[in-house]
Amino acid sequence: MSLPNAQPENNASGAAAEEPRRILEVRNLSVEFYPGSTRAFHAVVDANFEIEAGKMVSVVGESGCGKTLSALALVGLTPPAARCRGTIVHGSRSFEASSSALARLRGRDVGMVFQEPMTALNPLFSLDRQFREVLRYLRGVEDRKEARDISTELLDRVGLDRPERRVNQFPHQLSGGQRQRAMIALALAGEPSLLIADEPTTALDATLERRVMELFRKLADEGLGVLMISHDLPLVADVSDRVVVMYSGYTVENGPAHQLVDAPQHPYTRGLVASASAIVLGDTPRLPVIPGEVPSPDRRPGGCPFHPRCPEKLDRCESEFPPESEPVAGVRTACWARGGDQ
Amino acid sequence: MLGFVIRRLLVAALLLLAASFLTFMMIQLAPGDYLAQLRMNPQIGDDVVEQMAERYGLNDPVLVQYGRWLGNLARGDMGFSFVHERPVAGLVWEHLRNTIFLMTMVILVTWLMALPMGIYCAIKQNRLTDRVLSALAFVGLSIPNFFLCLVVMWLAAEIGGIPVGGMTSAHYEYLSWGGKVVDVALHMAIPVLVIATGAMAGLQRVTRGNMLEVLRQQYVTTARARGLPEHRVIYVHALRNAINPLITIFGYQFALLVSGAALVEIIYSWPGMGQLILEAVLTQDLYLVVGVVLGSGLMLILGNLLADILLGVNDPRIKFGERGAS
Amino acid sequence: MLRRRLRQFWDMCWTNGFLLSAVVCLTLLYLVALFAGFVSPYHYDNEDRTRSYHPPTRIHVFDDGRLTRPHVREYELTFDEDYRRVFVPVEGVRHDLRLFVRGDTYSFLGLLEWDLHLFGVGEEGRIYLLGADSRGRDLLSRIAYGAQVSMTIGLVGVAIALLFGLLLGGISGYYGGWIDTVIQRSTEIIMIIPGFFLLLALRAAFPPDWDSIRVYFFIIVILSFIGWASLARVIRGMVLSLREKEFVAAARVLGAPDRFIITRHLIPNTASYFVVYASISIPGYILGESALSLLGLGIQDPHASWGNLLQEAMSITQIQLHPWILLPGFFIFVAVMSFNIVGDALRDLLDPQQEVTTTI
Repeated sequence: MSLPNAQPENNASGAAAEEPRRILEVRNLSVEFYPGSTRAFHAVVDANFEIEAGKMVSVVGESGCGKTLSALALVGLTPPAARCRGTIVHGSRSFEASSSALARLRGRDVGMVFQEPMTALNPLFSLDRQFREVLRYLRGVEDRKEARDISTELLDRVGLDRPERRVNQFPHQLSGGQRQRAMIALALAGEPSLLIADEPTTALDATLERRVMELFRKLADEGLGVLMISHDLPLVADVSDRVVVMYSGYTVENGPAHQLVDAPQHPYTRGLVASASAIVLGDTPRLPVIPGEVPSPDRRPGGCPFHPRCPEKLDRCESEFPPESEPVAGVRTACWARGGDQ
Repeated sequence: MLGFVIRRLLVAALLLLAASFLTFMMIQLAPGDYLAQLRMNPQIGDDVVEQMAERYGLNDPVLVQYGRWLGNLARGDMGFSFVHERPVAGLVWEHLRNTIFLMTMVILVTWLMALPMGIYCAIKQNRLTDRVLSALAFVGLSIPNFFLCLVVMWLAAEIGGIPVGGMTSAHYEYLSWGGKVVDVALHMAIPVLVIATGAMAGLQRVTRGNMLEVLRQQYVTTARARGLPEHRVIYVHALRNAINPLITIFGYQFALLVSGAALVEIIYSWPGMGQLILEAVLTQDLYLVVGVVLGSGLMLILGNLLADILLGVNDPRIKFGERGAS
Repeated sequence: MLRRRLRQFWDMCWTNGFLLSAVVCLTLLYLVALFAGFVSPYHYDNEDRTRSYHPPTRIHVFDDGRLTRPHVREYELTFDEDYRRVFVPVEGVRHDLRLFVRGDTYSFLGLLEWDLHLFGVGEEGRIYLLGADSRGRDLLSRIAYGAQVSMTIGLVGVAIALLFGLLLGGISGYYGGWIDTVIQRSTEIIMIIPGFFLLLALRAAFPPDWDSIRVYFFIIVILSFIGWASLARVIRGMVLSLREKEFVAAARVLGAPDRFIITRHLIPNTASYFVVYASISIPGYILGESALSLLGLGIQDPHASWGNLLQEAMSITQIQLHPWILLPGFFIFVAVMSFNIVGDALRDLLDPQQEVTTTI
């Protein structure tokens, strides 16, 4: 199936000594809503990706593509109507995706940062109190003074100014950017090895966006694994090591960030890159948009879900979802036009 | 905050004065008065009635009477009850005390029962217990207090052993200190139960609704994602937020309960404000009616004020003085 | 718009059993109120003092083990060994239950005098399906006549409160300035006195011995006087926010008169709130009237309202001996509950956000 000359990334046979520690591996993760009923549908189909310590992996796609659900599934936070299947390997432990044991990973192994800093912090508690609570439950820190020192340190680490003053404040006294930093600090309080960030910058303005992204890069460089969920390919490509592109629940491409931007393989990724660069350059008279809309997962077309909008559509795209291939070294693509299994 | 409280009380005092004026006028303009009733009593001579009229200035124009009443009020004198032949202030205070006592118990019972039930129903939304409890709450909300009073009274009489009516037994004076407490507690049981039923049902519904809304909030998911145990997420993060609107309701509830309890008090002859006003109204005991209206209005104001203060204590986002009065 | 809402409400009825039964109950109660004279076997004041507190009559379909026409037995008042009043059946005397019998005359729909009743047992016997009161009057008949008071007081009261609330709240919000201040202060004065106390104080302003018709209208006036205040405040808020909306500004730029803007724009946009308000407030009016009548300050005997029918149940001994005198309270309960259910459903349907509190 894969070409023999292309495997410098994972599944490495030779470079075992230098291989970074793998902290998360997701295998065949599926999320199905209302299983068994007539309205049942899959919101995520067979997602596969992995994260190593010190690396930042981004999952990119339009809203409704299943990227957030995939992230929530890693810690068992999917809505009650959803059922997860697949295997999630955290470090040395392996979990069924449907297992309630995943909840024990929250905070201690996996820290989470959410989209809306305005609503994601409990408005009634001061930062100090929220830190104290997390520290008490996750690290057994009972002493107020100690908790305070740790939280000030964490706030300093995420780049919040005057942390010793901020720690006494309530969420409504902080700006959006400050809240997002506080959220990240809180997510780090349990000393997780993996940080999941679900569109952490959508609610922020553009200048802040970059700086928060750089903060995540810095955290990754400090040894944390970061899983970034975003709809903005160019923004995350700059700071990520790898990018996973999802479309309507399917993983269509997975490869090193720079390669995906410089030489995208999948027609959908190409479309994303083209429309993004047009905005940056601002010289195209007409924006190269991908025609059509993202189908909602409960009325997704058969075969490759992208086929109705695809400029390179082949006949078999309508009937069969393409298997993964590696048209370029290190890039896994699911597209018949890129070779499929040929 | 002190400024806020003082300003609120000042506005409330003005409104109360206006309300007293309204009540005063209404009763004065009404055909007949207490004296007319006295005159019909063959045992009381016309000269006695005239003397009374003279003494209380009941023959003066209405506005003059109100002015005089107002002047006396400034000195803490709320007038004189013709029927009870006592100053109104003491009379109102005595009954107000009993009503507040009853209300406190009702509110205690209501919150202790309704809050857990509401939370439980929200967590187990649409399960059997939730459906049953919610349906019961609907029934409780719809059953008229006075009807429930009568039904419970009937049941209590059939079962026996529980005193119905009044606040104390006839032999109350001879009981030991502990016996007195038990006696009052027994007399309270049924009125509290009856008043609490409706109030509980309402509070349960609102708690459930609020909880359901709060549980959908992002910060609840965040709290879960931080690795906090579920009980911590629900009882600290969600509940503290769900309780916010409930506190506002607490203020309302206090007022509504004063109102709703009046009828129960009357039926169970609990010596509270309800009985007092009914009597005063039936006998057109002018100053007493105004006194009761003032007293009950004051309770309403204090209830709302208390709720506002509690709200400020619970929610750091609220700053006193930023919202208008009442 | 209205048609679509009605259709949605109709669909809701068929999926929600509670709602359907509430609608059915209300329809039945209103029908009973409308045709009270016809459905009740006796006039509300038709008394038979020898049958004071006659227990509910059973309808028999068997006589000596044989199926016969439905009939009732004749009962006779005697005293048992403890000298308690008991009604014992008189052997061999039976009265056939017949449909469409002639009886007491009543005014049919206020149009014509009529004496046809849905059912009855003729002149010789008495039928008390729900028992009798202290003066041997049929409780069923009295409840049917009582429905005329209890079921209409809410409708009329809410209509009046809506009228005044709309008018004053609308004026208050639309014009602002000193009118606004005066109206808002007035509502605050009314709202500062707990409802029931205000109710009693207002009642005190009028002689207790008025006749029932006058008292009926007077109670409606009092209740809506208490009710309009909170409504006016809500409406003022709505008008304030609507006033800033584009379509109102547009109408004003086009030179539309105030009256036109108020009736064509403001009221239609707040209408769904009123529907919910009405259905949720009606129980307050029913309860208010019942409370007053229960205390003897409302509808006076011989006229019936569900509240004053309960007056006889105010003593424990009476309830213990004749539990059926509690039945009028059950009707109040059913009516209130039905209105609550309908109001709840309407709120879900129209979702006007605001919570409404009832007067009592």
